[in-house]
Amino acid sequence: MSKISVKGDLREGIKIIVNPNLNWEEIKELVKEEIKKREKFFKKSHVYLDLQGKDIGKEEWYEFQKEILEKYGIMLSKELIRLEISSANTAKIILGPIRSGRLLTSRDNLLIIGDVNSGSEVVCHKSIFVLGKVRGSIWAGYGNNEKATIFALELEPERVQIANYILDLSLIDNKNKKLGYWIYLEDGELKVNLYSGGK
Amino acid sequence: MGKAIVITSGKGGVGKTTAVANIGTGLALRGLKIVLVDTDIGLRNLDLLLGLENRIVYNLVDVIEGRCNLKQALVKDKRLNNLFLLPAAQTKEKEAVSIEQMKFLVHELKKDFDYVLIDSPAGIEHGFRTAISGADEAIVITTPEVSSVRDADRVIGLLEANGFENLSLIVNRVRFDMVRNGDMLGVEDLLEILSIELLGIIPEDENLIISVNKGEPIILNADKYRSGLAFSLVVKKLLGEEVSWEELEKSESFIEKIFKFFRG
Repeated sequence: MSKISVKGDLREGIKIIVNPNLNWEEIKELVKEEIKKREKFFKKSHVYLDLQGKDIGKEEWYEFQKEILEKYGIMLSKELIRLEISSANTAKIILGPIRSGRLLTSRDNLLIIGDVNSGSEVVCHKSIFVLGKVRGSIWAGYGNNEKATIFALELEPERVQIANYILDLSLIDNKNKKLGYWIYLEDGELKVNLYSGGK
Repeated sequence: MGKAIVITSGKGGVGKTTAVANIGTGLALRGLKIVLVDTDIGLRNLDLLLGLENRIVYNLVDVIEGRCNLKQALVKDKRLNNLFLLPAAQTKEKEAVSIEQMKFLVHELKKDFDYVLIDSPAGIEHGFRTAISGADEAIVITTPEVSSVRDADRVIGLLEANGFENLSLIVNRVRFDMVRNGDMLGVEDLLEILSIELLGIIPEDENLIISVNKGEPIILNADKYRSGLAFSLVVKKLLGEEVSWEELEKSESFIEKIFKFFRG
């Protein structure tokens, strides 16, 4: 087994593995050398030092951690901190059709499976995805969220709005039908893009 | 225990009352014991369509307020012994009947009849809520016009919110020639928008106006008039029998041919 090795992966971040048979002074030297070599790569990141079960006194560890942080701006840790894989991308799922006279509101993203019929209103703080035809009125990014987008398979709406912008419905091209429509805000204007499913 | 079906539309003038009179008569022709309940208090019409306007003694509100019992208020049809009408009051308003009272009334009627057909008023207010309260199933009626379709959609949403699962659609005043030319929404378009089951298609027919004015449901002449035939198909479908709508389109084109023949 080599004395020291460096690994990086998506789940566990950057990891320095050391041979536990070395003594603490040796380990410190090796780690410092390694960090010096790859200073740019490590910079401002969080590095996990895998001691493979070797016990280090609290005081000693703290001192070393402080030294590295001050010298290189790198935070070492003895415990593995798993990186959060984006779990914030959630949506409320609604089975349609959304019928006339219904007001559907959501603070989260909305996924509507079915049509949004004429005379209904959908208001959402985030993005709206409609797997169906929009004949009613939809408003994404309520509360001035300009990052919100709208996706719909078919679009013959009464009104479309993102944040404080109302879509000019003549921009909707119903002749060149593709898989669906994306509506988003760019440079203070609402754009409608035909979505072809990446083809 | 019979079944209570409410016939409703949201929009006025699309043919709720006509449908109730004809479906009721059609079911009675099959030998079933039928009662028609007019809940359009203040704007009653069902009596006229059946030609029973001069036989009414008591009405729905009289029953509710205890001036008579339920049996006394029922008016027997002129032609069929197993068809009855519970007329609405003309001099009262919708609020005269509460939802609980209607539920109780329909429950009582279901004990004695095979089908209780409830004619709902237009609108989605108290009158509508009362009319649907006692029903087990609902028939939504619409014409192929966008305004009527949107109102039907609204009503279907309200019915679903009230726990109705068995919903079906009658499309009234269809002109097949206009549909073919793309000037009118087709039945398929309506079913796509409303996404409920089809119960029937009634073609536009001027004979229907005559039958309404005469107080004689057109289903009694199903062999002569295509709207009468259409209602008989609705009754068939309602009783769970196989129905082909092509028959209707054929009957129209046949009549068209005769017209063309006479016009030269």
